Amino acid sequence: MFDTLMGKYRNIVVSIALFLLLDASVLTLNFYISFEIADDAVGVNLSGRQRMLSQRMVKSLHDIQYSAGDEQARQRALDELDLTQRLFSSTLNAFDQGGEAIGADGSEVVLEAANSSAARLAIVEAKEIWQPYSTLINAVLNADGELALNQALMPALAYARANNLALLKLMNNLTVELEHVATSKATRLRWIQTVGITLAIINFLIILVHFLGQLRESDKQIESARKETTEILETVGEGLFLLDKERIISSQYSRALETMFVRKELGGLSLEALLESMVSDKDLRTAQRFIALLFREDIKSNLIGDLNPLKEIEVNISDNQGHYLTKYFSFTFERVYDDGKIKDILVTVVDVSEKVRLERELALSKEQNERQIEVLTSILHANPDLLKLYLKQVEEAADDVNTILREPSKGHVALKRKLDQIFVAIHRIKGEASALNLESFEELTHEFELNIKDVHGKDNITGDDFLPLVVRLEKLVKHTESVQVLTAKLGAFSSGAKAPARSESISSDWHHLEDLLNKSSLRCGKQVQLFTSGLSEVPMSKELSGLLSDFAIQGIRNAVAHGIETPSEREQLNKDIEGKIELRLSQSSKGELEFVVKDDGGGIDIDRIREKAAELGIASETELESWSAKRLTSLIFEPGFSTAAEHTMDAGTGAGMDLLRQRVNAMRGRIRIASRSGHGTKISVFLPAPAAVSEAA
Amino acid sequence: MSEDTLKIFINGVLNYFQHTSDKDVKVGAPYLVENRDPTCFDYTGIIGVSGPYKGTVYFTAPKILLTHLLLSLGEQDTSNENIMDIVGEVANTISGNARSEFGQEFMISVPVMIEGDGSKIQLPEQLRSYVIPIYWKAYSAAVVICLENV
Amino acid sequence: MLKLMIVDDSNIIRRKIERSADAARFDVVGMARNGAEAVAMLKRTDAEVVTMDLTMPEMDGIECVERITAIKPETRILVVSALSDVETGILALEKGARGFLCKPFSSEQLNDALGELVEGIDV
Repeated sequence: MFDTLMGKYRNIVVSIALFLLLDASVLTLNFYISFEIADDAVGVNLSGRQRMLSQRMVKSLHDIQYSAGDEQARQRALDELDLTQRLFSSTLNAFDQGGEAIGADGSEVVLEAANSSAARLAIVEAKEIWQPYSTLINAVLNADGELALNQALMPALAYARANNLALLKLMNNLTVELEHVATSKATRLRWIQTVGITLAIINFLIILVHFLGQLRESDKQIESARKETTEILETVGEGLFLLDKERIISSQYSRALETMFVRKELGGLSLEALLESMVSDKDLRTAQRFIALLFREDIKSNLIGDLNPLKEIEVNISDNQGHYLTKYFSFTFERVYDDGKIKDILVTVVDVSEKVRLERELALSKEQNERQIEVLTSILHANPDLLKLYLKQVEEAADDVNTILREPSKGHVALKRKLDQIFVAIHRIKGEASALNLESFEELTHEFELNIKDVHGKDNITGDDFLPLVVRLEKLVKHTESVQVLTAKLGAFSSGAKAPARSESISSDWHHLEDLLNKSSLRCGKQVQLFTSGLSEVPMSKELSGLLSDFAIQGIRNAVAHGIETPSEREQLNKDIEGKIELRLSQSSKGELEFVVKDDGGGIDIDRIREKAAELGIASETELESWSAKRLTSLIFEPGFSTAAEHTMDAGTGAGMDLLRQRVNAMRGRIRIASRSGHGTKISVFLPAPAAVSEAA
Repeated sequence: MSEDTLKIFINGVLNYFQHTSDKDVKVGAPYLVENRDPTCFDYTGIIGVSGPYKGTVYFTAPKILLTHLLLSLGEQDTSNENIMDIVGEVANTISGNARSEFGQEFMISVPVMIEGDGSKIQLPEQLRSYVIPIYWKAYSAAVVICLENV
Repeated sequence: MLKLMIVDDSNIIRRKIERSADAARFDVVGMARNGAEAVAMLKRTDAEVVTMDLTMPEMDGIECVERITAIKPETRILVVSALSDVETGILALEKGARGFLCKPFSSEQLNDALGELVEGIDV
């Protein structure tokens, strides 16, 4: 760490060291020279004092001369002379040789020998003058008695007068010279300071310009590196981020991550917080455990990829509108090492929705194909036009049922009425499914009817009892749709080969009636033969042929279920074991159509109808006794009236006849029923001429 | 879709009304609607469902019903804000009920409330929704369920 | 040579691993049919590397990994199992296994995985 810092910042460290060294040198010199200047000041001061001392010595000599008779004054003058002489002598000596002197305040100071030539000259000359002067003064000071003193005084005074001025001048020269030296030192000091500070400033400027530039350069590099990283993170299509041990998302992550998760500011968030409510709790917990494994040094990361629970995870992203957006993300995890230790996990998230969608679609279409083949086999035998017609009827019936359901009604009675209406609609398409031998529809509608009956049997019907019915309805609608899709495909496939005929007769659908008869008679344990005539001779619209077909179906079903006796019964009655049903279509000269369904069974059981009517409370028993056979017979056209002992798929749900009558009425037709006990029943439908029918419609 | 699944959502609503002073809440006969024109009243609370079934469930009610609902809960302030709140509460109850019934495999979103026409309710157009009318006092509301089997 | 022990209840898988493991690097010192056998065999053979099935009779792979790790923590265990249950695989690693190889595997995949597994062992 220190080494790298030294390497990186060597230049700046050296520069700063240089700056400090410079400052320190200037400071030291300053310190040193300041001391010298202080010393010089003492010298200047003392050399100035020499001038004053020489004057005082002269004055003291005169004082001695004029103090004759005044012993006190004389002694004072002598002491003064002694002191001055010693001071002057010692100071001059100190200037010459270097050494101690007495300072202005009386303390001892050390003087260095003056060494400039001018100073030396002054000192040497001064010493020459001083030597004899000092001897003369000493003679004065050492004189013993008045006479001796006077004798010594005279030459001293004479010498003083002769030389004092010269001595004074020399001392003055010394002072000036010492001052001059001090001044030049101060100048030098200022120079040194100026140069030092200038160098320091230059150094500082170099640091400032050069290193700031370098810093800015490296900052720029860091910034551009960061910008590159940022740009990469901004533009990559994958979600990229680092996870630490606590599974916290790094502050830097790719922009795509926000887009993918439809969420901002993901840095600092835990992975759990990001994924919760998007993936199931179970997957989330497994993911936590998996990531913990990635942080374990002893586990080989390359060997656990298969255990990654987020390899292809379904992510449900709430769009804040109450809807889920389902996506598939693939998370991959890579260890990030720092100094040989696992530091973070680099996570890459890729949106693989499209891939998964395609895979699913493939699987789904395979499954759909299989289902379609199933449906296909169940409808393949049916006449395509009839099937189309039938599908349309189912669609209409489903619409009707839904409309009935939708009608607001709350009470038990209203709901029960609803149930009856639904039953009628479903029963109708059930009968036709049976006729067309469409087993899937037969099953669906039969189950539907059973559901209706379950509800019907309840004491207090409520709205939620209808839930299974609406579920059935949806199933029926969906099934119808899938068959429609299939027939549309088949239609497109075979349209080229299709016959151009506009009108078709029932004869082409002959087989489905026969199928129906065979199935019904088998179920009821009866033997019946079907005879037809004229069915292919009258051209008619699909609507008309549909009605007649439905009528035939209902007639056959009723005949087999109610009319025709079992083979053993017929044997006892001396009838052919095999019953007969006859279908006949004819057209009068006016164009009116007559369609007859006739059987040779036991005829309509009037007593049974009366009983049933009494049971259903249509009228009282006594009233019913008075009803004519015709009136009783017409009851079979009433909704919900059924006389079969048990409800079977063939009869006994009492809705078919009711509907047929409605349809015939709608076409301005009429129905006639004739029955002879023991001999059979004949139901005739009269319809206006086909052309007139289409006009009426 | 099964009857039981539908019941789970309906029960969510019924549960809520059980807590009101007028507990007499009735379920009407359910029916189907094409998703092209979603049914809705004045206020709607929508929750998203994901997991084995995916789709949307919403509770929608007219303002008058919600106002009375607020009053019956002892809330005198029937401001718009409070009405939005109560729709959210009902949707929350549906969501909570579904969460506890369906378990971990399902994800149920936090409800979103909308006011006004149903253009904001997005449903897959090719599918149908189940509409279950809810009658309370003299008013009717509905739970609408559009779930796809995945 | 590294001492390799194979633990799997399927005879076919055991033999396949035995055949596939690089003979120049691995010395198959033992093959066990269940966890209990494996634990006993570990003491006897002093195996350094183990391939471990997870679903076995008597003692399953999870418990076996736990026991082996308790006896000899430095043992390198590679779980070799079908991927029906990711969680069980993770559990095995939590208990001390070092890696996971998904069944079915090719000889090459097995050798790559073993190579990765024993990385860093001084031979």
